[in-house]
Amino acid sequence: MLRVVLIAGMVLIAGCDMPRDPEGTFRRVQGGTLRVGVTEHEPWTRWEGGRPSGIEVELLESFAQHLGAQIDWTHDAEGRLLETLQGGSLDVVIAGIKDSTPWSSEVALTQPYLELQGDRYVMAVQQGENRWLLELDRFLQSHRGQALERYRQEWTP
Amino acid sequence: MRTSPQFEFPPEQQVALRQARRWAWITLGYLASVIVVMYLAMGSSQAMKTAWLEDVLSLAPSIVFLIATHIAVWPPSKRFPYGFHRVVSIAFLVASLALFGMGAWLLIESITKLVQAEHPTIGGVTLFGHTFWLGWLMLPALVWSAVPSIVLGRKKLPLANTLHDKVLHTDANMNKADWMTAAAAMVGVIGVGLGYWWTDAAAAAIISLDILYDGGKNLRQVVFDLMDERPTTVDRATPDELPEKIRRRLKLLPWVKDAAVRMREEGHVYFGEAFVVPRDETNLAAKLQHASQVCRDLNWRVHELVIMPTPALEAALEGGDATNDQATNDQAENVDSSTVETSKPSAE
Repeated sequence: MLRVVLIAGMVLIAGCDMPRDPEGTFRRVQGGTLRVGVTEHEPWTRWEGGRPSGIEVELLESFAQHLGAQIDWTHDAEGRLLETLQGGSLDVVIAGIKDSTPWSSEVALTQPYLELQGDRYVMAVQQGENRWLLELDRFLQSHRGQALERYRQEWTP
Repeated sequence: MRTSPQFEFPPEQQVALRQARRWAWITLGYLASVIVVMYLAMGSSQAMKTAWLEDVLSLAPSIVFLIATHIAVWPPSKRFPYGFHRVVSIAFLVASLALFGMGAWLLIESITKLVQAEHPTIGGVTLFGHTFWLGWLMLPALVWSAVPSIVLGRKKLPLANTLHDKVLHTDANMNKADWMTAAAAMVGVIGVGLGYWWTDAAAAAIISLDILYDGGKNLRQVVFDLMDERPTTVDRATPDELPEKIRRRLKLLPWVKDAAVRMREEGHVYFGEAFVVPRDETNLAAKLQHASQVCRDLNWRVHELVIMPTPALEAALEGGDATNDQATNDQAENVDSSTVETSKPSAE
């Protein structure tokens, strides 16, 4: 019985690309629009004259390019953005969020893409969108060096 | 004060006890590894969390067994004249309550998650420079939590029978059934991987039902033990025939006209009283002592049998269903009716 379950399970999972998003975020964003919420948090994010900039903004811009997607920026307070994210009207929130954030039980956090003096920086996505989270994780993990490099440029004269 | 006899396993049981204790230690070591592996792969999957807690809880029977077989063999003291056999039941009561309570709590938690439509997040993990889905770690962790467990259960079951140890028997059966928990959790994780968020909480609910069921079953059994239910076989399926055997053995003695026996289990062994109607009362004290020894020689589990001479069985057991000769000849019937019970047998 156990063997049957195991073999059936392996056949089943080998044939699918897992994980998939319950709400289909990754598929929608690919070649579509990436909806990003931004709150200012130097040097990770800035909002000047209706335009975002900063290290996390640059990371997401190259991620969007990688996915062939346009970015739709929303500027607001962090709490409001994260609530909107929970409701599914945003795809990512960037605000120099650390993995110690009290929001960690309300939203899903990426793995830390940068670690500085015990602070570990992450981005927030909607809970349960596992494919989307994994793709963002993959991108951020492969750009760790770049993020660190940009941080040094910003903070050393 | 006279204390009960010192605990003694016969040689065959001594060997089985050593083996069983070794398997219990192996089980603890194995479960510790499972708990670590599962914890590392847990993520925020409710099914994984529930399966993990079940693994933590399944430490309990082995720990209970090790403690109980250590303490139960302490010699009786003035303060505890019946010895320490019952420590097994007490420890098991605590373990069953933990299982039951945790099962209930986990069930409520999973149902809450289902109702609130909480989407479980199983994200990425980065190992050796590769970022991949954490679910791919959960599945082998679950396999590790299931397959060796079945082997352990199979090894422990015959030892439990030899030792007449109900804790070990329950433990072995739970180990044997553990693959179902792992399979349920795997279905939950794979379901999430396929984009069905609800499979995780649904699997968790099924696993917690199983924990709740095990806990409830064990709780019921241990309460029966503490209520001095008549002795049963180690799988608790049927009443033990030993009290009836003792009664018949007593009746075979030439000086015994009639006999009745009642017994209770304390851990591995039985304590009990026999009431005999003597035909010939000369030298009664020596005869009684001899009869008690004869009965104890029948089986190692007869730990102490106090024999009480009485002019008639009905007088000795007011309200009890005293036995008669016809019942003795009918073996199918007499197992039940001849074991003297002063109260109604518990319905099973």
